[in-house]
Amino acid sequence: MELVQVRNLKTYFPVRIGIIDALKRKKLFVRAVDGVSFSIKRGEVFGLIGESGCGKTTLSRSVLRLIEPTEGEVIFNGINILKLNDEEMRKIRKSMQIIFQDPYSSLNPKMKIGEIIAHPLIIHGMDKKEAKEQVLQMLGKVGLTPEKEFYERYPHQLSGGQRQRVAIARAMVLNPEFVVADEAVSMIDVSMRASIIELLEEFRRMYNLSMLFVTHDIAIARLITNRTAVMYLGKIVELSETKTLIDNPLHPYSRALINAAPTISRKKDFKVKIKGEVPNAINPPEGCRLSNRCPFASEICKKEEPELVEVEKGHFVACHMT
Amino acid sequence: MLEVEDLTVYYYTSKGVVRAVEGVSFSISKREWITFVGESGSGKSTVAQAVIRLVPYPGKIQGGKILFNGKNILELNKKEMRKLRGREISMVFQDPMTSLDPLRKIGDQVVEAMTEHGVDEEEAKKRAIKLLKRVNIPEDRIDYYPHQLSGGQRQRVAIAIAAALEPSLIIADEPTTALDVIVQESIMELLQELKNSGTSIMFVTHDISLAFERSDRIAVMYAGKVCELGRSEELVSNPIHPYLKALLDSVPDVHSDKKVKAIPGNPPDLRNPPSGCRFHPRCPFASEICKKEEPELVELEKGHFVACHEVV
Amino acid sequence: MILLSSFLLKPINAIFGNKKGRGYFIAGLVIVSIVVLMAIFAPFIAPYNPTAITMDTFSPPCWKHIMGTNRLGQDVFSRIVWGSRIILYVVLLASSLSMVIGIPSGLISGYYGGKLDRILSMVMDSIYAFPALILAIVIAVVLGPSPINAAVAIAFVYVPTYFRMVRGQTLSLKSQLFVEAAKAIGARNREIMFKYILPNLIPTILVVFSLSVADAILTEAGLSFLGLSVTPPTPDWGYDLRVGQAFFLDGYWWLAFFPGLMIMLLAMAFALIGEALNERMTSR
Repeated sequence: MELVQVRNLKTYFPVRIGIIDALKRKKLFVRAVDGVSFSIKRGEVFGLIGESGCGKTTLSRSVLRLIEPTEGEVIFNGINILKLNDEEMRKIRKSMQIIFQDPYSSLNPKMKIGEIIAHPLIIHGMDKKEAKEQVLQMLGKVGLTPEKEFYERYPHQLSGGQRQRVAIARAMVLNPEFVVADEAVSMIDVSMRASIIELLEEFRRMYNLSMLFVTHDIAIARLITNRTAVMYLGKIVELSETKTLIDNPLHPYSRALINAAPTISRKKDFKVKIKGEVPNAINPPEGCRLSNRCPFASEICKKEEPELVEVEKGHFVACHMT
Repeated sequence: MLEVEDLTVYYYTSKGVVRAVEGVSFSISKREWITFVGESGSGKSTVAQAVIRLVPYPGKIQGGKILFNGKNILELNKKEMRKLRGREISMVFQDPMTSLDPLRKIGDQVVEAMTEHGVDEEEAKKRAIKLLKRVNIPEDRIDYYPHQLSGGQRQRVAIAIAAALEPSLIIADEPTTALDVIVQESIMELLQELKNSGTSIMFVTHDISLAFERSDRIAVMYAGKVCELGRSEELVSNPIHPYLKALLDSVPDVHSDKKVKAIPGNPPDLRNPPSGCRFHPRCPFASEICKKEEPELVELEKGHFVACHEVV
Repeated sequence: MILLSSFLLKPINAIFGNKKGRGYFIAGLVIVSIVVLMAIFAPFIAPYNPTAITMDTFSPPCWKHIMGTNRLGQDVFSRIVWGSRIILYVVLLASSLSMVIGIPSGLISGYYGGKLDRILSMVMDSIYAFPALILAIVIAVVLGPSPINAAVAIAFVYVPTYFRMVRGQTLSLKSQLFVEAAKAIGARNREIMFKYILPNLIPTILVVFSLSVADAILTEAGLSFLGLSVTPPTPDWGYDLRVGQAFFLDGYWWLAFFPGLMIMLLAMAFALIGEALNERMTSR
């Protein structure tokens, strides 16, 4: 059962240009997300990995329509949410939530923790007394005890880990079916990460939650996701079960990415290497977008864009050479 | 080559004295890569900054000795210190923008790093081109300004400047934290090359996997103290201190299916650190003595030091 | 008294600690409080009826009339005390009016952006481009002399100050994650503006308020100096200053000196408070 289906999603941002280009009516776009399709099953954690600038954050926001996509479909529970009007969209947000990377700026500094978590409930029509009950319960579930004390505190009185628990509580209090976690643990101290991940995993199990887990840390993706997509310059280059992807990456970019991840469990070979750095998404290379950095690139790679094809069951790769 | 004895650094903040580093001793030999691992607030960066006497205000080096080739750095005057920095010991920071001048071309900045220490202009220019090439900055970028480069390239320039005078020690304080893995890998490789050509590296990171990959020895810091120190394979395969064990259990690994466990509790407030062993409130093995007496760093096996009452 | 002052100092210490600006803030607050108390308890403080005409004209400051009397034999001190009511009334009314218009329009303009923002910004900028006093005079002349009209004229002049500040801050707050988070939980735009953005603006609004009140005091004094605010014989600082200055060269210095001094002190007090708050906020 697919809960979320993303079809050929594109999000372009116009680039500010000089007056002369404007007169020539030349329009430039950052093609942050450029034709992405995938789906997430009920109860599944779907990982999205890639380097900064690959479009994973834009994609995660576009799926929730926090950024307006340019083209494509996002089908949630059978409804294309990109077609909904403001009021319908507002209502459906109850079932789709997000946890942000930075727990320092994602909480309103002028609201008490209790108010922060209660507000989603009140927006969606619960009365204040009932909301408070629920919030206290939620505070207990995310491990912020004594609940009554945390209810009255302000964000600046909490540590980074505690703030992220508040952010999780705010997302989970509406009992959503789908949650986007955008680098939800990368700003948390190493020793605390595990507990935040455990918490997310617990919610997923309890409520059969679907998650889109965006991260640059492949080790964390391995820990929590079922399937993972690797993004490069606005496109998915490989998609498969996370374990398969890590043990047997097929796309040269995934191979480089996984190879570069530091590990203590084996001595690595420092062989697969990608030259240079990610180019900007205004003028991506023609053909395969990795072609200018790929050690295996041939003529066809520079001309034709490879499609995402299923090479073994459930393992998709977009590369001419595999 | 470098010997640090009993280093103690306090921060005199308006909210009290933070005992950031207390009684830290270690040594670095020629052509060695030593990594300091710890969470934020463990004092790892402070140790690095202290070695080159760049502890930021309101921090103060309270005591101890830092012997560089037999000379105590802490006794040098400002002029001698300036001479030492860059020539003998240099530093690479987490954010290269803190050390690069945003208004000047990168080539000029590399040149200046040399002319300041008496290399003549012509010679410096020649060497700058070579250096930038060595850190993989194409020659046509020499007239670029820092903002025209990517984060990874800026860090390469910072490393080029640090390596310009072939110092015997380069201190790198989380140089890859802001970078993506592929770029991180290339920066690590660059440091490795420098090490292979004879420079010692003192590396600081919160990522134990990263520490393991390249370093000869690792020092694990917790709450301002070194709790375990030894060869990196030894430390990872045979961790002894309960904190290190817990730390290794808490980090996921790309190539293993192990489940992770968080370390219960929070790191202590160093204005008022716990008595005895600073890890005892979070330690599952803590006994009475841990609450009272501070454990010393003892050599358990050759080159493997641990500060824990329960294992000694 | 000591108890009272320690009670008052507590919140001040909480904001400023021992930081710079604390002295300014306290000094400003003391002056403002004195004027406010004067206005509230005017009937008990003023020794004479401020409008009563007596035969004792042009008396210099003495024990009977500590600030002397004017050409109609009115007690200058009593007029100062009662006059504080007018100036506070006009200035506070004016500032509240400009806030009521300036803050929401700034919020809406900054939050929604687009065409509306461009039009509003243009209008506000063109108002802002005029010298405040001249614009206020023109409006007051058109509306006719009365305290309320003076307040409206002053309010009009200071709307762009609030608008520009609020719009600018809204633009930067809009990109903060907690605003995105509010959208994600399904908050309406109205709620995002007033529950998430506005509370974060309050410290800045306070600064702008104190500084613009300081400015408005001078503008009010200017208007009533020109006879565009109160009608005689109502006691008013600006009006008294104007009447008094005509006799300055005749040696009756106290007629202009005391109203002038009060205007300066009150304006300075609000400016001090504003500066201190500003200092505190930027040094954080």
